Amino acid sequence: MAVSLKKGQKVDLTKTNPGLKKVLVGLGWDTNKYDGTHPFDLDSSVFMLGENGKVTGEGDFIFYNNKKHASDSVTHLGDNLTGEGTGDDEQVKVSLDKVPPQVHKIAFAVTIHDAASRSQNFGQVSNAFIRIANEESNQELIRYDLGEDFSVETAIVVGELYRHSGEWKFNAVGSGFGGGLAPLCRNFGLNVD
Amino acid sequence: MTVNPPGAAGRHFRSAVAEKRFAKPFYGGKNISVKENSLMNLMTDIGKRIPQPSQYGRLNVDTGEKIIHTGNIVLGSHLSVNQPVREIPRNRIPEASAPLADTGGPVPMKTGQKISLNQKVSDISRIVTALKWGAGNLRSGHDISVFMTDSANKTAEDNFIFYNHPASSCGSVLIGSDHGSGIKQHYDATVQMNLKLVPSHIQTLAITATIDERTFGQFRAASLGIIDAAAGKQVLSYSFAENLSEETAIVLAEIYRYKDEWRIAAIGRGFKGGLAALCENYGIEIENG
Repeated sequence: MAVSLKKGQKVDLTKTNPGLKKVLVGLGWDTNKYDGTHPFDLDSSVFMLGENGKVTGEGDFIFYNNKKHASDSVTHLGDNLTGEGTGDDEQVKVSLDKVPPQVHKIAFAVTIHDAASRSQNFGQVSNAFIRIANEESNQELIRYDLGEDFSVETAIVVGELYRHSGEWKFNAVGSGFGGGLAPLCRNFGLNVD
Repeated sequence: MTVNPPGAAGRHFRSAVAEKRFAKPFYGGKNISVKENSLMNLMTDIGKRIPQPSQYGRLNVDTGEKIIHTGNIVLGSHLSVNQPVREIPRNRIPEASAPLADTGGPVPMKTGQKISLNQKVSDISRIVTALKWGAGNLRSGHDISVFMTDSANKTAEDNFIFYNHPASSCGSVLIGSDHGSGIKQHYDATVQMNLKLVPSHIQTLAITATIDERTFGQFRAASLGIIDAAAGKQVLSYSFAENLSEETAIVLAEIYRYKDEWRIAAIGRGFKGGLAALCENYGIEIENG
């Protein structure tokens, strides 16, 4: 049975699951049961951060156009354009043992593509979640349902894996941003136009 | 013709008596003369006392066919409505005069936003949901309805509240009423709500609207207001139609339980399939034809 987290909660990952090396991070959401001119397109992305909370370069930003980190530790499995169906809409594989030592945190974010021009935000997205599973056994270990935590935000740092005393932990961050992907990138030290 | 005496500032009073002419002492003993040959409503809103000693409130004179005066009354001069200040054809919706106490103004809501009603209104047993379609639009041809859904997002037949079944059996939802506040005169449609009477198995009250022969894209200026009837104040305002186009049935907002309180979510989205699509969305089967 997976541990269910609330916003801001932190939980052990490798300490309680000894030997865990490969995890699958699944992100899901439901959108747009209404008729309308603009479909929703949600994107997940990953920021690999140093101890200062910043990336060291563009290569530490893993998203649909840069699916694999140079270390081979983080792989984005691709963009789902519609968010249809239950279960994960997008998935990221993380090999914890391959994460470079200078990477202290791995932050997972979901953004709404073109949110401003389509007048969309997370208040119109339902059943959003992040879950961490053991990639080898497919056993779900941690789950955070975003539920009522968001409304007018267009970008959310859903959660982060982070190092703590030689182990990996997970933090259900749940912090929202307006303005989509760009302010999020700047927050993590990436220069974007 | 009977005209209620001016009460305390903030009260509305209204008379609707057919009479060709009346001349009656009005504020400060001034006379007001109205010549019209039809049913006449004299409606004053003295909620706004204007600082200048010669001015007092707002007056609308509505003959039932047209509004022949709307504006501030200036005491010290006779108001003659024989020469209309402006005429508003009856089939258009007049700009409502500011009907409610002005204490900070309503908070604007954005689509997708969620707000606690318990924290916004003084008494959740006295809420009015009020709608304006925006000036220049026709008064008829659209209906407001409320789906009272359970936690499985299903609506029992008796919990679909609409023009033909305007009152829920629990007394929590009453279409066309306003807790006796008189607020409904200032809006195109109102729904009276008493959230304390909502049965515990009901999770959501979905405020919806349907339209005949047009689409909601033609009502971009429409707005939804949440009124704290106990305080006589509009607390929330939502321009729900800004992103609508071809829809013929829309969800304006959903009022729902969250933990120990009631929240409102600004939805402002809908369907091209009319009432049937709404019913499907809220788990009601309807017969065709």
